[in-house]
Amino acid sequence: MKRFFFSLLPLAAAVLLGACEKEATGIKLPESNSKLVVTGFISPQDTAVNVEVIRSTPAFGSRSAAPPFVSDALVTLSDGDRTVTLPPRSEAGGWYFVDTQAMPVVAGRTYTLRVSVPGGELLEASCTVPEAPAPPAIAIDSLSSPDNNAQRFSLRMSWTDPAGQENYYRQAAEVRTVLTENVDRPPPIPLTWPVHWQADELTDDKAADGGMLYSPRGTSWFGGLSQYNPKQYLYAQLLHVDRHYYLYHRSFRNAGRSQDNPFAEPVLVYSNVTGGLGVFAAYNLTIVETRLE
Amino acid sequence: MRLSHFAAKDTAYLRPEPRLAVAYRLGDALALKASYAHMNQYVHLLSNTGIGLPTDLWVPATREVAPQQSRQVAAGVAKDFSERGLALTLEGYYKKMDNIIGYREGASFLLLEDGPESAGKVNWEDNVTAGQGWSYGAELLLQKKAGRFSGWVGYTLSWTQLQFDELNFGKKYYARYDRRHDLSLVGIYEISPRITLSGTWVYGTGNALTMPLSQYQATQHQAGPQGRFYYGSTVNDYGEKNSFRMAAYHRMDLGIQFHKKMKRHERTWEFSLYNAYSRQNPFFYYIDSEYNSTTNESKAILKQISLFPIIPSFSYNFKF
Repeated sequence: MKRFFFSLLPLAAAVLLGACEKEATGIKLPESNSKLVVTGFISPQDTAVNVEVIRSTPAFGSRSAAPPFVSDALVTLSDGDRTVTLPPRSEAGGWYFVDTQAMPVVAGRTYTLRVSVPGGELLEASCTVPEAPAPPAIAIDSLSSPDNNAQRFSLRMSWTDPAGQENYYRQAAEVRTVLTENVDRPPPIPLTWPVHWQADELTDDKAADGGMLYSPRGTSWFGGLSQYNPKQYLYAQLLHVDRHYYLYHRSFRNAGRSQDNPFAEPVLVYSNVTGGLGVFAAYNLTIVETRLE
Repeated sequence: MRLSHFAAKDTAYLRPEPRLAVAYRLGDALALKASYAHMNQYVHLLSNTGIGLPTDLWVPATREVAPQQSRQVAAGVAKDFSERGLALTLEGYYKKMDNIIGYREGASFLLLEDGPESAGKVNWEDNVTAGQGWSYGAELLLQKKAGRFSGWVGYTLSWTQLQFDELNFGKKYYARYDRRHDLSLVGIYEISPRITLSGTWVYGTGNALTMPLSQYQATQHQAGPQGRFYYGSTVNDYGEKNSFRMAAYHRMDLGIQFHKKMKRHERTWEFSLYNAYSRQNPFFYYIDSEYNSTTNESKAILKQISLFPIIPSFSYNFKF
């Protein structure tokens, strides 16, 4: 009997002390309404303003497999003087666009995007187009020649920041050349190599307002293969982005690392859209072209 | 005045901590009191804000992570009701905290995808950011010390908010352990000199967590000389940080004690019930998905994990 009693102890402990799992009760779950998500980036260098309108999927409750594109929205863009309607792009669900000839995007001007849907939801967001940044200086250092006389190199961009205002930047670059011999297609065939940045592509001027700002170091290579056109160029862009652009894209900096990790801190995605999610942001850019020799 | 010193690797902190406490008696049964305290804390509590398994870490101050500082003022009144054996204390407080730390967004000390060997590469100081906090509220304590029935009622109404430049887009949000209501009822009844009954009931507002509200494909701008290019990634909409409340925590504990004076000692047998009505207080939540093949729909539901249902216990004590 005593032995039987002791043999039941682990079972009793498991029943009494074991964790209980059940559907959560006694809480107010977030409302299961999906939200409209509006995304658009405008720039004086673009030939059209493109705006995407989709719906978010509620975190709780039933999820349908229907695509989230919203094709019946009324999308308007205003610069204070005039207002244009962005018609839907027929070939791509959820996208609306207008040519910049109908609504020029000008530095210093504030644009307001309004989106409404038949259900009554109304979203609004504004952004001001930054001035074009000063042309950046580009410092290039040769690193090594791994094979076939190809050159690995690193580059760094530097530029002067306008004083007395918050400024945000992003940089991009690539190597361009032309393939002069090819077995599949008739030459010349343009080719590009990306530049890989060692740190974040987004920068602010908090540490050096009005001073010199530097991009992180980027690396790429230009090749000495015989079929490449010997004229190879580095095309570099410096984007002067507004605060909305900067905060929205910075949200994604850690999102990739935390994905699928239940212990990671939640990443909040920035939005300047009243009544919904997404972003309406602006940038202005300067291009610098340098021949690689 | 207190002087505190803390030595960390490559750095040392020497901080004065002035404190002042005054009390003024208005007759035998009424007293007013007020205090000010400037304090430093050389270990930081680091709490996650997601709905998953809670991971509270205590980390030391270092050269990069300054000690936490706080300044607190409090004022209160205490009154005795001696004819009824009661004592009442009412106090309000306001506390400002600086150099508190929180996890950066996306941070984790557990990099699951890289395996356990990656833990050595994680520098916790890179995973935290410094900010400030405010805590204020009022506390009420009513005690009964005399008579066969004794006990107390304690109630706290409080708010605790945090602000980090790098979190929640710089906006204030409620701390995980912000507890709007905290109530405790404790009663001890002496049936006879040999038998005592005791009961406790505690209630606390649920912790503040960051809960996903919806999911969407976030389109991003890809800068590049080739021209405009957009790409998207699936992200959660969380609303404001820590805007979701866990279910309230409450629990009742009951006990009965049998006392007996022996020749050389006094022994007590006690039988008690922890969580007498087996309340399933949530320890953490997770989102589960159920797929219905008939409707071709999946349904996301929130599930909770609870620990410690009703737990009976016996104990034996003796004093000599």
